[in-house]
Amino acid sequence: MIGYIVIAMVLLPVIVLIGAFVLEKPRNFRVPALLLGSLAAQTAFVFIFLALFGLLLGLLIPQ
Amino acid sequence: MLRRTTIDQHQESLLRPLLNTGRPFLMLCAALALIVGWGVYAWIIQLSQGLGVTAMRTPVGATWGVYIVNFIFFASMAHGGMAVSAAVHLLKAEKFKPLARMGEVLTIVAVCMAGFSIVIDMGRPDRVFNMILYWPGRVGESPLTWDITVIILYFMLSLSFLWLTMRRDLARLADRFGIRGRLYKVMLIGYRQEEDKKIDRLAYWLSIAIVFLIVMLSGGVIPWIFGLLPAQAGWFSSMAGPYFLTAALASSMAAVTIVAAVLRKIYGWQEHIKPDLFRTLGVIVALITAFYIYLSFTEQLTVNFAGPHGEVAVSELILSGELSPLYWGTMIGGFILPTMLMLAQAIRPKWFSMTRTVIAAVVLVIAFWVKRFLIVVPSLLRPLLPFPSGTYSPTWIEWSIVAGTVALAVLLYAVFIKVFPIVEAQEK
Repeated sequence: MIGYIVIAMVLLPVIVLIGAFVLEKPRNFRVPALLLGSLAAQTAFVFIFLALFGLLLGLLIPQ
Repeated sequence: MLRRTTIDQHQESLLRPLLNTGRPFLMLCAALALIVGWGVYAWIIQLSQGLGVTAMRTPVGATWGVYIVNFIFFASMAHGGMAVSAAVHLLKAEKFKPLARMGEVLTIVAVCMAGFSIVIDMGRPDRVFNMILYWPGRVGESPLTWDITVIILYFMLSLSFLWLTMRRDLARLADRFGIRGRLYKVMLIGYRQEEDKKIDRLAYWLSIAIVFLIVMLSGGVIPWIFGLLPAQAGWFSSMAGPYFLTAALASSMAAVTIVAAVLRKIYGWQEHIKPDLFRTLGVIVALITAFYIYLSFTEQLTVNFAGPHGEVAVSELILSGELSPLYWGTMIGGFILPTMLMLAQAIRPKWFSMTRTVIAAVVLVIAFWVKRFLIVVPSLLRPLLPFPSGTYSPTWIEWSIVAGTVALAVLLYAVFIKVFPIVEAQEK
């Protein structure tokens, strides 16, 4: 269970810092959207890459 | 949409890597590609025949070897660059500005290689997606899962940081280059000049987040893979965090020093990267390394004063056993001498030599790789459980794959500097 505390310890400050940037004046919708879009796209890429990479190696490696 | 700012001669010289590609560069790339190819060949053998082709053995011998050493090495390398970049944005350390993007790119390449080193070490890398699939069930108690989470987060934040802060330079250059210009325009999606001020604030806030992640990664989740294991003598220690963090900062800033020196020499950037910068970097690296030497001494003193049997056995192996030449060679030749050299230059500025500083940085980077080996392997060779002591001598397959990953890292860096501006342009 300690792992949830560790992950929260890491994620919460990062979320707070990104939140501080988003809310800081002068407010701008475009740059936060780009940052969040970039993070979302990279998360999706990591998932898809690992799935395809595993699948490819599964075909190559003798079982 | 794009910026029409004029680029003067001073700025123009920063574009040399994009404008000139000579035969030596192509030959270097070809040589690196050959080494990468050899590494891939070795990995294919390992994939088809299993980890039995390596020297890693269980229960007698080391179950982790040079791949994990490489993982720690590359993960550590990822910190100095972002630390330099963060110093520029947080402390307004303008002196380091020419090094900021060099460091950011070093981070991206090093994190990729760290992740790749883990995949290579897996007996069944085809099950790599299980890391995601079983994440919710594992994150509660598995330091390895914390590690993967924080590394991926660090990578994503660093890449976003690099992309967003690079856009204003790409906007200046998009119309100037053919194929690369088209790539720049894709990366400039939605760009407007008004966003530059907000990007500066983004750099400030993300720098804080990234510095925080550096501490949590190299001073937290990576050392906790080792430091939380009471079953493994030599690893179980509350000091693992500061110990790893110090090593990460020193080795990665030494690497930034090397990269800056190489690019300065090749592209004639003497006017942008002044010798004084190397002296400052050398002093910082030397001070951090001196602290690391102190931590190493403290660790051995604690173990040998009245340590448990298992801890003493591991310590004996490196202090007076078969690994002692490697240990003492690394400590004296790899850490103490380069540190003394760099500190002497700080005390007596007239002794400063850029060449000696860079050589000391190279020696330190190699020494930190060997030191990671001396952290990972000896503990596994002296198990607490009733198994006999083992030995570990990496096979040619392991060395080939390690060489391949190092060559791939250099190749990726070399390609980057030919595609994107490696030094941030100064605002006029």
